[in-house]
Amino acid sequence: MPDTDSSHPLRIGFYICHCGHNIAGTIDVASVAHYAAALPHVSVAREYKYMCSDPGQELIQKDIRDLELNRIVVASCSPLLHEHTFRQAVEKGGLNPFFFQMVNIREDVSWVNDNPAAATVKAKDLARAAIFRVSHHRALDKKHVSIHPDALVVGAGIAGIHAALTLANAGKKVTLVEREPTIGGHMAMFDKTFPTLDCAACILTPKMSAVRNHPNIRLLSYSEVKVVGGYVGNYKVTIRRKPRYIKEELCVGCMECIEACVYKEGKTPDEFNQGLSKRKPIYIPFPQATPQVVVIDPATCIEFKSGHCKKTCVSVCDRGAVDFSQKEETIDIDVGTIILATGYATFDPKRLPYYGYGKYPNVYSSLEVERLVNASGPTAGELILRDGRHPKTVGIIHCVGSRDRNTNRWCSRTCCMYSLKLAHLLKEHTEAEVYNFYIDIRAAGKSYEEFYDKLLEENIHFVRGRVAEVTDWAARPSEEGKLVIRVEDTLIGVVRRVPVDMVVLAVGMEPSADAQDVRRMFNISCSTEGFFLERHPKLAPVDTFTDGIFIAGACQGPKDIPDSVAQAGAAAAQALTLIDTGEVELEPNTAYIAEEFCSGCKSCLGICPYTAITRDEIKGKAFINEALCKGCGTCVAACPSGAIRQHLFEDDQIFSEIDGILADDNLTTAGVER
Amino acid sequence: MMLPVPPAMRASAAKSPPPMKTVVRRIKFESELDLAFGERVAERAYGQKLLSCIQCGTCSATCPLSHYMDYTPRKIIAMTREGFKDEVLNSLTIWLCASCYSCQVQCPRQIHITDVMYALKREAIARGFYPAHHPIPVLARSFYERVFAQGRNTESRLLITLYLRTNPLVMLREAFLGFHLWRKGRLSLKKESIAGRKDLRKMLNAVEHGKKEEPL
Amino acid sequence: MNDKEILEEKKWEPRIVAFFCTWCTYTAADLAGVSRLRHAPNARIIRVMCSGRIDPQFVLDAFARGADGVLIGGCHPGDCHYMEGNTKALRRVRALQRLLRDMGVHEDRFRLEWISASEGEKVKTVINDMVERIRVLGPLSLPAHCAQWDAEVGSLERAIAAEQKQADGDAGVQIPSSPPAAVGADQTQESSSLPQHHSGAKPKIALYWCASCGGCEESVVDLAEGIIGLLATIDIVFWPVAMDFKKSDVEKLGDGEIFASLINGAVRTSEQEEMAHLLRRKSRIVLAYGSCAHLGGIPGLANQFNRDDILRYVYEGSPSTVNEEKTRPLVTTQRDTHTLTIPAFHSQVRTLNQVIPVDYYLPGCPPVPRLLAAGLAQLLSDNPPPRGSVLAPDTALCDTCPRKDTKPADLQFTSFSRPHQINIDPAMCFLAQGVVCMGPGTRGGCEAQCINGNMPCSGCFGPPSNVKDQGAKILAAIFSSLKAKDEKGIDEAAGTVPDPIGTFYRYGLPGSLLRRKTMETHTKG
Repeated sequence: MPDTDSSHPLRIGFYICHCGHNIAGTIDVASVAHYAAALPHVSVAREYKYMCSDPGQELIQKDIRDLELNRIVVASCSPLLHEHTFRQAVEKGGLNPFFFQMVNIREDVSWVNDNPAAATVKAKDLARAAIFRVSHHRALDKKHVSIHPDALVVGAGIAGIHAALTLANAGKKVTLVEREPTIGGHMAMFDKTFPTLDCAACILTPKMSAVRNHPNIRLLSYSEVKVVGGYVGNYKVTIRRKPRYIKEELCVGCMECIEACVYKEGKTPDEFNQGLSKRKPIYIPFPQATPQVVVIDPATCIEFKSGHCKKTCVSVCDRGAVDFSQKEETIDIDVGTIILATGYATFDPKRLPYYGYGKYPNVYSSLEVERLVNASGPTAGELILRDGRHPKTVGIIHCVGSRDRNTNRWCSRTCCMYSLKLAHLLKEHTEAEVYNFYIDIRAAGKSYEEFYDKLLEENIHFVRGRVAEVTDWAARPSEEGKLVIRVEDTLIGVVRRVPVDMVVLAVGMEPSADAQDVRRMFNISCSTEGFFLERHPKLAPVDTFTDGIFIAGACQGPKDIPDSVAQAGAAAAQALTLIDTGEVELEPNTAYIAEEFCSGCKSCLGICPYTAITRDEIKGKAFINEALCKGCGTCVAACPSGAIRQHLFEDDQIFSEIDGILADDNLTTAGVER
Repeated sequence: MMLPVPPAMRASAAKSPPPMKTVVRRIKFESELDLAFGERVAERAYGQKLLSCIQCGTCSATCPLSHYMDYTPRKIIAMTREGFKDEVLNSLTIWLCASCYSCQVQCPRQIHITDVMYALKREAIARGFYPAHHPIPVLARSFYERVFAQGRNTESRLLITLYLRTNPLVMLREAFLGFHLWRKGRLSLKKESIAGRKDLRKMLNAVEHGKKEEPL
Repeated sequence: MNDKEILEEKKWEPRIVAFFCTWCTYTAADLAGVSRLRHAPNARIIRVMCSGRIDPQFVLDAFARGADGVLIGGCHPGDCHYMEGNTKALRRVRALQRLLRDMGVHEDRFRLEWISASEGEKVKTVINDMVERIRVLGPLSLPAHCAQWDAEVGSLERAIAAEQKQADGDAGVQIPSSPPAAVGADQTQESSSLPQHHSGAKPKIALYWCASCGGCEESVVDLAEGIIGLLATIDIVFWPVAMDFKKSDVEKLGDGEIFASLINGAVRTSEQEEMAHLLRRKSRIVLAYGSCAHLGGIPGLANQFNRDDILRYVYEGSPSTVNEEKTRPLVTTQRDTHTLTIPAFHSQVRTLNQVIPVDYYLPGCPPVPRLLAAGLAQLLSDNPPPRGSVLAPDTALCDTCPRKDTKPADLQFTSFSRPHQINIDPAMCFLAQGVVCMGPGTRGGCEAQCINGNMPCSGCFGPPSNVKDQGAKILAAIFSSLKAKDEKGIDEAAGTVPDPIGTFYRYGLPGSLLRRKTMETHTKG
């Protein structure tokens, strides 16, 4: 029964929006309004150019007052876009905001239809369905939940660090979780950053240090998020701290234990140096690592493998920080908002055998070269190839793995700029002939084009052509002992063979290997490429479809450091909006039990994934905890008595919608009336 | 291993002055282009998306024969797309294509370049636009004629026809090699044929006079 | 215009009702819009929060109202915004697909697709593909078919009305074709008060059996000594099984003179139809007595077959029939100068309210004598229940089931057993033992007689008032709790219920949303 009695009959107001040309260009809006006006209980049917605008909203409000409307239907764009807008407008007009129903005739009809007749019929069917449905709407109260003021930032690369600092500086308590033993992410590996050629470590370490020292930031390094439960404002997160086997609070980072290790020299490929050097089982990723604490790798440490080590590390540490009995720790935290800044992975160049990575020792990935030119890298900044030589010619190949339907379709955005940077650095370090082989030079940021300009003047060869292969086969004597790059110089118009000593592959950026697992854990979506999905690519680039969870940095898509920092600030701002408001309004679409019909059959108890349904043993009936209910409606469909209902999605509302859609079959979709 | 160096690039050639070049006007007016040519070729080549080509040059760079082509594969795609019909159909490129498929495998836009080459080749044949004395079309025609007539190809006679129609002088040079091959039993002079020649001719005629591909 | 004409004029277009979940599929449909991916306009989207909200009743209702196809869109497995709503949807959908197949609806008409928020392209291809497939199948047109089926009863109703008009014209008395409003009673349409009987004479009660087994008659007799008390308050004027009143006796009564007729049995023949109309005219109250009159009952299962199939089997095909001349009974036969008639055999089994307006229902196969006595007392009282009520409690059987406490809170079915397949523990809940029990979705009031006889409830009291289609709702309830999460496991578990229609619609097929098996996928001939 509609929520009106016979003394207050239904009075429905129907409004159809032109949306400029977007709707009215395809749908005959006047005809739809005319049709709606003749439907039962419709008091007024109007059309207007932009319903979501102020005048449009005022039109509704005026009608509510003057015509005593008690139900409103607006046919315009998608409810996912403007349902909230119109509900607020209705409320301002003096009517309960949930006496409102929206009809999607833009995204669902005018934008996907070229045939005006068919589109108009579809619009009429949907309008009729909404009018039937709204008759069954009931007044509801808005649901508010409070927001826990603490925040969680996952990933401590430049984006995560910046987000955490922003939030902490705003006075909020932040837990910063990082999987690696040190924070800093990929940026810590770089030598210089474009276009200013600032030293990456120099600009990053102050921020890392600020994180370390900030009273509002709790840094959990060498840790991973394991379980996420709850909902916006009330997340419960379980974090697993992997054991370093070092007592973090005692270690001062003197690294004497590393020196003293029974291994005289490292045997394990050093991950931070991209495998270009070796490390010992006890190590620190790089000297400025934060926290400045060493870590023991149980897979390679003799004590773990055999149990019989001299443990010189223990004896040399006068603080007694080494602790082989350390166990994994589980930490549970409550937060109101979460920012994901989990970064990216680089494309594995082994997937392109024609570039010879892994086959020819002097073919390097860009990240390896960053470590080579880095003063704190495996060669202390000297350009020494794997075979010990210094390169006289270097070829840098752009777009490795990117812009290619066979691997990754997208452009990785940063590779052109960092290839230019590497070209400059290599020239600086070696005086070699440097060739850049590109398809397009993408230098779209601030001062980027000027950087490219400068490089042109440094006599770096720019050859426009995508390299087809790198080979060690010599066609002439001058090519002996070199790696030959075969490319078409498309600007000059001829195929060239360029022999080089060193090949640098500008590998693209990809989603992290476990992006899918991570996003499932946080209940957000990924796009088809595999990066985390933003709520709207233009207008909401850091929000996700899950309230309270934000994304920032390269995990959302390939981007450089300025953009990552900007997004991190944006995500922090979005989180602060929620936190400082203190509460958030949720759609009151929870399920509830109509007790008089509940038979206590227990069919619903196991259905709810949020354990919102329990059994009241005294009454012998089911009970739904409204605070836990998320409004999925699964229990509603499962109740065999129809005793569980869902606000906003009642059975009678949906049945009436079905009825409304099918009620008039005189209008065929071909638009011909019988 | 060293490749033989083409004559024009031998050191001796540098001693004589380069030939005098004539000044030629090279400009292309839109009216000289056939704007729909690209679309029709794409359709003929099983609907390839020529429009997706970003002119990266991978195809030219990987093509083993691009050194010898007047227009590299990348240029052919660009010219086809823009409607440079005459240049494309008259090029050597489409004849030099060995259908090794390297370009198709590596193309980052997954364009089936080899299929496009073949579509162009068929079109050139349909119009009779091919270099009449170039060995490759001549070889193709001679081969077909021989198979049409005898049902089988006789290598020795095919070669002789080929040389006679292209460059008879080459025959003299190759005769020595030919003699040795014949002696070792590798090259037979005997005419090869099949019994059902008439039937084969009937079938080939049916195909030839059946569904004809329209010139683009 | 009939279907053929519509198709020929190419005016028919498939109508598809689509249920899309907000987080994934509806967002993808919006994305398709934003990307201007044009597709067929035949789908009408209803948005729900999660595919888990989708009640099988919605699907059946859509078909019953004229949809040619129903599409459900949800998030990919593992991606549900509400953790596992889509898994529950999948379980219900697989079971429903099996049911619809048995009900003769082509599988291309009901489809479940997993579409994620970024798959706008997939929305386009799925809708286009579904429209094309259904276009090939043609319209399902259940409402039109229902109208056609109902034409066979409509003709008799119209004949009666015409007769009556003539009679009225002769007599000059206006006799309403529906029960007259009582003196002083509220005249509005949805009046909750009943016509009161005139004081003085005892109210007259008639009982009649249509397509019935006689069990309902037995249940009246089962009042035992109570019948004596009953007879003190009422007068039975017609009861073919027990008393020697004739049809002409009823015809002699005035319209509305009978206080209440308790009609049991489903309606299958023209004689039953005629008697139903007769008793309706002569009675103030018609009470549909027993499952057959209420929902169609066991005879209702005949709605899985065509009239032709049935007659052919009975008169020619059954193993024990010898009928070489293929003699079939005829409605009218001439013998010498006499014309012999037998009732016509309808094409459908109908519930009583599909033939005449019904005031009350007393459910059960058969009804429980206690409820009969209580119901009659209520009707005879000054405060009768609202018209249209079912005279039984409105909570499901589990409420009063003696085994309720043994039912666990989190059942996860891997397979189902029928009663003869296992030794049923007489102290434990049937569902807990894997035996399908319709108790959770069936009204109580029957004193759990079957339960106490160690047999699971088979649903004869019909659904509680908030449920439109009992079979669909129980299906939703039971199959939501399967253990399997993948199609194969679900199908295996669901396959252990060999006869979904017979299990979930044992008593209610004609009264269900689809009413009968559509002969769409029936083999021709």
